[in-house]
This record gives sequence, C-alpha cells and structure tokens, in this order.
Amino acid sequence: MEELVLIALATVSALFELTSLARLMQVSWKKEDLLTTAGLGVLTFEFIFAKEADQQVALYLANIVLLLSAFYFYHRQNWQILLFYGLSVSLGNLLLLQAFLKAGRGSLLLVLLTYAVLALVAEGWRRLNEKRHKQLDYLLKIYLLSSLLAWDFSLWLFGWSEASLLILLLLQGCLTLLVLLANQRDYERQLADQERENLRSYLQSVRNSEEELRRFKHDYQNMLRSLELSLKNDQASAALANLKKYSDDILEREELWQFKDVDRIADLQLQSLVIAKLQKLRHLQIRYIFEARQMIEIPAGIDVYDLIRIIGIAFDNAIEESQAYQAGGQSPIVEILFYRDQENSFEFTIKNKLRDQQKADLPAFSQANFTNKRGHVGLGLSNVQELQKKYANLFVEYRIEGNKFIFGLTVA
Amino acid sequence: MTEILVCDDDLLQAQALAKVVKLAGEFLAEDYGQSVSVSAMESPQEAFAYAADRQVQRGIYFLDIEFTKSEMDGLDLAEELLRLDSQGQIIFVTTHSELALQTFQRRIGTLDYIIKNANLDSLQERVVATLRLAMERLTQLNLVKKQTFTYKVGRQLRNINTDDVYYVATTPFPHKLQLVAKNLQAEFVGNLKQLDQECGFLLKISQSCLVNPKNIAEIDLHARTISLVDGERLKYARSCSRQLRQLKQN
Repeated sequence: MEELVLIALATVSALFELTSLARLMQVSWKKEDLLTTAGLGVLTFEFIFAKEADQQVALYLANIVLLLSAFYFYHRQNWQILLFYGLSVSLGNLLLLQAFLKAGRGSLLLVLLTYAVLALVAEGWRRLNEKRHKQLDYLLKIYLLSSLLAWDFSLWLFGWSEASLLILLLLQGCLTLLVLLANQRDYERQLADQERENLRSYLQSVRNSEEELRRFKHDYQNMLRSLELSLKNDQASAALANLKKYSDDILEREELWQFKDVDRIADLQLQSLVIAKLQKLRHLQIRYIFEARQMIEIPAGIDVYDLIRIIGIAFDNAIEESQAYQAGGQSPIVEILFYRDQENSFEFTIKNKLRDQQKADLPAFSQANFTNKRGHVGLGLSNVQELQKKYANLFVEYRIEGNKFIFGLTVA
Repeated sequence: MTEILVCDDDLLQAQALAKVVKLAGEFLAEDYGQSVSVSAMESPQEAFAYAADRQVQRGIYFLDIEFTKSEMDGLDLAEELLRLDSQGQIIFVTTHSELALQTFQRRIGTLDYIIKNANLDSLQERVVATLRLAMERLTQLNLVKKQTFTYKVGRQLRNINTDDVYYVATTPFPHKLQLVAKNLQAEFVGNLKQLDQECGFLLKISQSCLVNPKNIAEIDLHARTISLVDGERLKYARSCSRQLRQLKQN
C-alpha cells in the first residue's frame, strides 16, 4: 500500500516537473519528453526507496543531471535558462527530500504545493517571455537568491517543520508576484522608450521632408521666373522641359512621402509599430507601398496589444520572405493597406512577393497546424491562431495570388 | 457600341485625354468588333447624369480622382457609376501622389489607372493598354460564368472557383467557419448546416466538416479518414461511412 502511494507520488512529481518545464520552455510535447518523464519517474521512485543518505544524494544529482542534459540536447536552450531552471529544480527537490525525511508521508500536500509554486513561477516566466524574447532578468536572479536565503532563514528560525516550509512557500509566492509586477512595469517602460525612439526618427524625417519642400519651393519660383523671361525670348520649350524634369525628379522621390498616411492610424502604439516596421523596410531597402486613407481606430472589444502582436508577426513574416527574395537577386515589394469602411471595423492587408520554392512548398500551409518551429521561414503563426480563437468577430486569411502571398485581418 | 466617358474637372485636360482615348478606341475597335463613342465631361454630376440618362451598360470610365469644384471625388463617382452599371470598367487618371491603388481596389474592385503627368508617348501607350484590358474584361463577361463559391469576410463578398475548395469546417465560434482551399485559408461568417443545404457540391463528412469530393485523394475505410490532394487528413463520422464507401467505389 505504502509503495503504491509512493509510486503514484513519484509519477505525479515527475509529471509536474515536466509540465512546468515544458511551459517554461514553451515547447510542445515530444517523444523525447516522454522518455525523460519515464526516466525521471524511475529515478524519483528509486530515490524515495533508497535508505542510505549517500545513495539519495547520488540519485538526486542524477535526477537533475538527466533533466538538464535532456533539455540541453533536445531544445538547445541557452545556459542561463538552464541554470535558472536547474536551481529551481534543485531547490524544489531539496524541499521535497526534507519534507519526506522530516514530516513523513503526510506531507503529500506540501509536496504538491511546492510543485504548484514551481509551476506558477514557470508560468510567470513563460508569460514574460511572450512579451520579450531576450535576456534573463536580473530580478529573477534576485528572486532565486532570496528564496535560498529565506530557506536558510526559516531553517535557522524554526528548524525543520511544516511551518517553515509554509512560510517559505508564502515568501516565494509573494516574491513571484513582485517579480511579475516589476517585470510588467519594466516591459511597459521599454515599450515607451521604443515609442519615443520611433517618434523621434519620424519627426526627423518629417523635418527632412519639409526642408526638401522648402528648397523645392525656392527653386520652383526661380524656374518659373526664368520661364517667364524665356517666354519673352522664345526659348520657352527648353525652359519648360527643364522645369518639368526638375519637378518630376523632386515630387516623385519616394523618401519625401515615406510616412504618408501613417498619421491616420489614431492609436499611438499601433502607429509606433507601423513606423518601426516601415523604417525597417526602408533600412533593408525593400520597396513598400503603404496606404491608410481613412482614420484607422482600434475597434471596441479588441485589445490593442493583440492587434499589435498579429500585425507585428505579419510584418516580420513579410520582411523575412522579402529579404530572402532580395537575396535571390530579385526586387521585392511589400504592399500594406489599412482600411475602415464603417464604425468599429478594421482591415489590415499585407502582401509580399514569394520565392518560387516557397510557392511550391505551400500546399503544406493549408494544413491547419502551421509549424512553429524556430528557423522555419514563413508562417510562425501559432500566436495568430491563438488570437483567432479569442475573438468571434476577427477573421484571418492567408492566400497566394500569382507570386504574391497575402495576409489579411478583418474585424467586423 | 461601347460608351467611353472621360471626366476631369479641367475640361481642356478632359478633352485632350478624350482625343487620345478616341484614337486608341478606334485602333482597338477592329479587334473587338465594337465601335466606340467617347464623351468628355467636366463634373462628376454631369458624368453621372449622362450615364443615368442613357442607361449606359458595360461602359468604360476614365475618371480623375480630385474634383476641386465638387464634393464628390473620383472614388465616389466610380461607386455611383458601378451601382448603375455593375459591369462597367473604371480607369483612374491620377497623379502619382494621389494614387492609392490598394484602397481604390478595396473600395471598387477591379480597376486600372493612368498616371496623368507622364509624357505624351507613354500616356498614349498606357491608354491603349488599359483600354485593351478593359475591353478584354468586357468580352469575358459575355462568356459563361464559372461555378463560384461565395463567402463573406466582414462586409466584403469574395468569390472563388468551386473546384478550388478543399473543405469547410467549424471553429470554436458558432457563426464563424473556416475555409481551406487551393492557396487559400480564410475565416468567414456562416453556418455549416445552411451551407450544407445551399452548396450541393460539398459533402458532409461530420458535424463539423464539409468536404469537396473532387479534392479527395484517398479514402481509408479502416481508419475512417480521407486524405485531400494537399496531403491533409480529415476524420469522418461513422454515420457518413456509407456515402464515402460509395464514393470510393466510383
């Protein structure tokens, strides 16, 4: 009987660990993960039954090593995340060990609580990573350190008991919350910085355009005057041709109209994203046509962050494919349209040229499960699919027409 | 006879363009066995009244975008004209900076454009090319319409060839369906039951899915799945087994 309970416990704990890990790494389940789970289950099981302390420590270490190496090899995560997770797992497992040794089997609840906290941390971490992809945050390091300290402290204060464990768990919970809040603020600050930077360069280019126009006005007036004079001298046609060439040269210069229409996007965050993406296109020397002829507003009931995410992904995909197209020696073009035909409606379309082999690959794109493998060119659109499921009045469309790939989003 | 209207708020420019269009029209008339009549107008109201009066059908309209003397712009005029003459062909005459082709197309569908301030030679060339295309389209309208599957995104209706449809499936939302077709994946407003009744060419394979039998590559009666020509596999309901067995035998 006792053995059965322990086996169940071992399985549950291994599953918990793997689930939180999977969430942490944002990975989907694979065969390898199941193998790892099985390995962990066996190890934990042996660990519980090992009578000698030395044996326990050895198995414990093996447990962690197996877990970490498995994830290193299967998912090639960076070492910081591994370190972070490794420490959390070690901590969790130590607590588990102590709970078993001191409190006996009655501590099942505590064990589950420990894993719940771990899962919570993992979930928080995952959410953070959704918004920002890069560095391990210093706050999380602080969190780890303080957890360890709190652990030491409660040991010193209460010795080993359920009370000390509970206090530790509470502390961990509070700290997790704190870290999450702090991170949210940090993220918002970064967003604001980005916005400011975008607006700054936008203003700069508006200023350049104005300068350009001022010069044009000056030259134009001069040329008109000389045209007037030459009319008297019968050299009109040459002067006229000159004037026409000059004005065409200036007026058709695309950088003059670089941000034409952008100010019609009323929401500043969306506007800022669009400016950033158009600047990127420009920087990569990819030609684009941007149109927004009506005032574009975010429809009621739709979270602007969700729209920003979808549109950002659509832009990134178009840019990525256009770069590949450009690398093939052809000149890409990206066409972007924002459109509104009535109150509370919203349309966004982006088109880009497709390489030939992409066209050939694309029967696969109609399969409902787009790959979200990293490094896969094109439709890493699992996020988009998530949002499709969130709103009943949001319609997403992908299609290929000739050599163009078209992504459309309609809110109606 | 094909009616061609040229409308620009500078009458001199309208007449100049009409002249070019007339030449091009006469040049093309032989190819299409259609004589042309070209009229130049100054205001959108005038153009609209002319088309309404004569009940012009399948006309070709060369329209300016900006009419400084009028409330109406070229896009409004185009919409009004298409309401009268739904198969009319719109060609916008515009400067580069006014051109917003995607928006125009979104509002009034297929159209063409001519850049106003180009030099005369390229203008003539462009007029001939757009006119030829417009006449081509008008001729094609006479041919039998292909079978189309129509779906609605927002307020826009889209048509695709029925042969291109792979399947239609439900989504988590009751009035939103998913369409998978050749080179297309879209969501639209609809109801599967109703669609099943309306579209005879689709075969119901479960409560949540209608399939176009033409695009089935293989039926696996044991696993109760069908494979489509694009390689996708769908499960079918036990209650539909008989129909699929029959389909396989044929």
